[in-house]
Amino acid sequence: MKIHSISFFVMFGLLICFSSCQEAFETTLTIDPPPFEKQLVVHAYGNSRTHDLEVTVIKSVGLLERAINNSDQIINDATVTLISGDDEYVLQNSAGGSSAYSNYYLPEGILTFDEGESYVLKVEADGFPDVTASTIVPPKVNIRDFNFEVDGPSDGFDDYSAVEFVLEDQEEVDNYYEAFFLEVNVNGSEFPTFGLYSLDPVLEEGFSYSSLLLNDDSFDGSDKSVQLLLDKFFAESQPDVLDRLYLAWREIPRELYLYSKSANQNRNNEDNPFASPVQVFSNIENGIGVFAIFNERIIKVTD
Amino acid sequence: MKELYLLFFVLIFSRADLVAQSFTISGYIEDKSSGEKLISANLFDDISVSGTVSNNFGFYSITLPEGAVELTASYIGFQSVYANFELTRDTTLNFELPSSVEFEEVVITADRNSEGRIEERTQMSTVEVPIEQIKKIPALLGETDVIKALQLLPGVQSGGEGQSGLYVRGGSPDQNLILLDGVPVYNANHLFGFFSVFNADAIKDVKLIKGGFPARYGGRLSSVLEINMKEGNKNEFHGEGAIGLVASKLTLEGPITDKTSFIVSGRRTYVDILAQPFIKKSFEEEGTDGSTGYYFYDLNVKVNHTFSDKDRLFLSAYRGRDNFYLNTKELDSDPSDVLKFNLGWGNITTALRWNHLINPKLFVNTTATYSKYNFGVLSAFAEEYNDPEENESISLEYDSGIRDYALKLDFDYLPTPDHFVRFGIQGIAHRFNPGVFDLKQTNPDSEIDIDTEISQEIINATELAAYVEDDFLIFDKLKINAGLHVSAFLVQGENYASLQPRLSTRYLLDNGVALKASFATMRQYIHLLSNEGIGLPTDLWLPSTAKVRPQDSWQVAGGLAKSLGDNSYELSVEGYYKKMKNLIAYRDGSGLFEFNDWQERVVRGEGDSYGIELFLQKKKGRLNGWVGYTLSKSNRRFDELNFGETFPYTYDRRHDFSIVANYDLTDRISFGGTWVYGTGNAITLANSNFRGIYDDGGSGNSSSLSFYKNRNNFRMRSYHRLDFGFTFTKKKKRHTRKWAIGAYNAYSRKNPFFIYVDSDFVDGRNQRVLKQASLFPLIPYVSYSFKF
Repeated sequence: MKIHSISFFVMFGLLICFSSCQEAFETTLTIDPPPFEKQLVVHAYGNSRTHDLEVTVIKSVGLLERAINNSDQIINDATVTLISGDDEYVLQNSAGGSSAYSNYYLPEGILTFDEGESYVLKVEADGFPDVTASTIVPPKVNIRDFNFEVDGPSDGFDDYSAVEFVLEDQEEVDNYYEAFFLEVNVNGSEFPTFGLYSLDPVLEEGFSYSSLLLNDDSFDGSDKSVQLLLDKFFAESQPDVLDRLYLAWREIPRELYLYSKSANQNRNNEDNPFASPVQVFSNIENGIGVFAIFNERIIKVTD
Repeated sequence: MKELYLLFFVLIFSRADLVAQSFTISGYIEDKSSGEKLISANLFDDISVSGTVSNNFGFYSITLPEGAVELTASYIGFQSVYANFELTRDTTLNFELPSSVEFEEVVITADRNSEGRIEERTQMSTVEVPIEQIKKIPALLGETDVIKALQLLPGVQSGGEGQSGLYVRGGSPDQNLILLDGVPVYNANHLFGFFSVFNADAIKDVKLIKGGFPARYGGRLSSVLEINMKEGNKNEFHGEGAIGLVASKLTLEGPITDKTSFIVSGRRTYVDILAQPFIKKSFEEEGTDGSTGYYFYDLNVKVNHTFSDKDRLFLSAYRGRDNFYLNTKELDSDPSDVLKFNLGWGNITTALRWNHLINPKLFVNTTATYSKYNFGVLSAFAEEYNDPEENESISLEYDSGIRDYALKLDFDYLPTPDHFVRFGIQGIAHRFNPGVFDLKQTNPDSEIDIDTEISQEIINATELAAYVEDDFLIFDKLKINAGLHVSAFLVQGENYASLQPRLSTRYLLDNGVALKASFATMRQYIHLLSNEGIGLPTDLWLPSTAKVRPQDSWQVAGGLAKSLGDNSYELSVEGYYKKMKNLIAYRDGSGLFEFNDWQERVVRGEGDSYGIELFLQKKKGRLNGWVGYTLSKSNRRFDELNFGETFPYTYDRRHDFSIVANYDLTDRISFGGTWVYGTGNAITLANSNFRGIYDDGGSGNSSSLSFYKNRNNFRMRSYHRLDFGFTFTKKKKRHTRKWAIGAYNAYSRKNPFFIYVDSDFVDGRNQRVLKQASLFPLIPYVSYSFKF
């Protein structure tokens, strides 16, 4: 019996020796990524105010590659066609630039993008299946009683200046909105400025860093009082910028609302191990991205 | 309706009416050496060829015709006891079963016809694993774990490497009703899920029901895990204990008077205590006075008192807690930085149970219970000056939990050997705390003095239930268990009610094979809002509300069962389909520690699962154990997740195989081994990356985004693991000592825990690579235990 016992202890000793090998205690392992099939990534934005359509065509990269703004990922040899009823418009390439912000465009003034019109976008590129997407220009919605107050509300930590107006939401129509601040220079160039905030929980963060999104689920068909905030410190310390400040207000199609919201969440959750991964909405068939045409108006804040 | 009632009573009393003169024999079946009541022990009369089983308190009742009776009381691991006499009046008869002589095959002749055989029972999808068998299964760091032993059964899965959660037939861990002496235990995990809260030394009996739920159970969708504590040795004072790598434990039990006995069992980890001098020194070298550590403990106490053969009282309590702490204070500095962090969670359960025999055929158990689970985090930072009036501090405290008071009455009525009627009522007062943040800040310089509480609404709810069921032998080959569970939930002015019919049937084929089928509908009024797969104690228990409806399910199962080889083996094959509705999950992008209403953070959906389970179990003999295999599929669908498309459940496991073997090599040395294999978990991994571009009114901008085509689109590597261990037992003059040595993950399989993207220096440059992290390589263990 003693021999039995001793033999088992010897076995255990050997086990410990074996387990002291570094390889046995290694707890990470490099594994193969899932199979990757490159796809066309299309972002196409039409604006009823400027009457232009800007399209970016790039390609997706593998899980282990970085999706960066470089020429390797930009596709400049695609054919991009906008279809409106029986009419087809082939978009122009922006001179093969390396910027991924837009490499195809429809020159201003060809189409006006009136509310209710429907459009189809088709993109053909070598090595990729054709992609298509469709959208309808959303209805315009009136706003009234626009007002700006330098002394706006406080959330207990920061003081704000406030832009306020009433939105006359339409009944039985699912409306989606987007808002952000624009600075318009004397030469007419526009660029986004100031952070946009709200204490109203129905306003949500958009994909653009300074934009807010709104859907009419909670006030469908009713007048909605909207209060948008900017940091009072900036408003007071930069009066020249305030004088050139405009609110950009858009009626956007549902697909852009979903894309903007989900893309923002996807970006915000990138480094959060406790949050579920967020799937980005896309209306591009056979591809990734979004095609949307929106109504836009800009309103001078201090008028 | 009247006709239905009439039919019910005619059915119940039909066989009684046929018996001209009959009397009832009733009493308890218990372990002779300890006086512990034996649950589900068999009692069989060879003359009338009828039998019964003892209930959860060891009580039995059988009504037989006047005349000769030849009774056999039997239970696995015990010698049978026989009683032959003339039955002329109602009789009280207690059976005391001696333990089987070790390693001697006990021939239980009555088993051939007894209620205990798998083919005799109407209940399907039920597994009972003897606690002694569980103790022999090799375990992580030698710490015997009831829950992990159950994970080796077909139809039951673990969440991941080392985790203690139970995923039963495609359900989630919150869908398991875990009852410790009849009291729900909400969080059964220690150490982030690596150990369960159940101390095997204090446990008498473990039963898991995966489907075909009898009507007496309700409130959860997927399983009932019934764990009963020992009552305490009524005859002699005994103790047992163990010193392990993780924790040490001690159990004491014995009689207080001839009618009262007790058991006390405690367990605590001690790494924090042993390491404290080194930790303190390490802090001092950095100019700080500090301490940090982690511990958990369990304490089980039970006292029972027998007033008479008709009245018994049980008081049982459990308290367990986990605590992680970090306290530091900068030395020789003005101001001195002071940091305090504390993370703790734990359960308290208490049950007072009163058994009363109203008459030999009618037994009632009254239970009053209290159950509480809470989770808390405290994070505080202060700058302490020599002048205390200058001190600045900020602290954030978070607290969440659930508390229940419950009262229930359970009646067992045995009018004839062909009927076992159970009925009862239950009321639970729930109090849910979905999370309270308390922020405090003091800064004399800035004249800041904040004490703010941001709280989710505390919700009180009342859950009511009633049930009736009958285990009814219609004729020799056909037996059914039919019942109805009725429940209601009153919360925030909303009243939810539910009728849940239950039916299990057993039909004996000519070759002795039992054909079984069952149908059960279940409703669950509470939800666990969980970050899937992480198993953190931060998971929130939440009630159904006006916005969040109760979870519902129905399950059908069918199968075959047969005892083999002189009843040493039980073989069962079962197929099932389960449909679940009103499941909740975090909305895309939502997660922990958010201030907004939790109801806004969840989405509602449905799920289904189906599969086939094969189970071959050997409960006795020198070689015992089981082989289990499950082929299954489990899906989820939420309107607002995965674009409304169906996706595989994270714990969808196509193949799940386990083999568990214990072999007594000699009377002093035994061997235990397990091998498990499972398809890898489904996780969501990006198919690709792309540049997301937005129109911001200017020149445009962009961000890198991940493209997930489908939720849970990627399978981790399959999981397999071999554990083995030897136990060396030696009887000393006054005690028995036991050494256990073994290895967890003997061939050091790198099983997946999570997957992440990392950077490695490959081919002269940094490259992104996909890596899998594992938790436990080969881990040897040794433990020492004693019993006196």
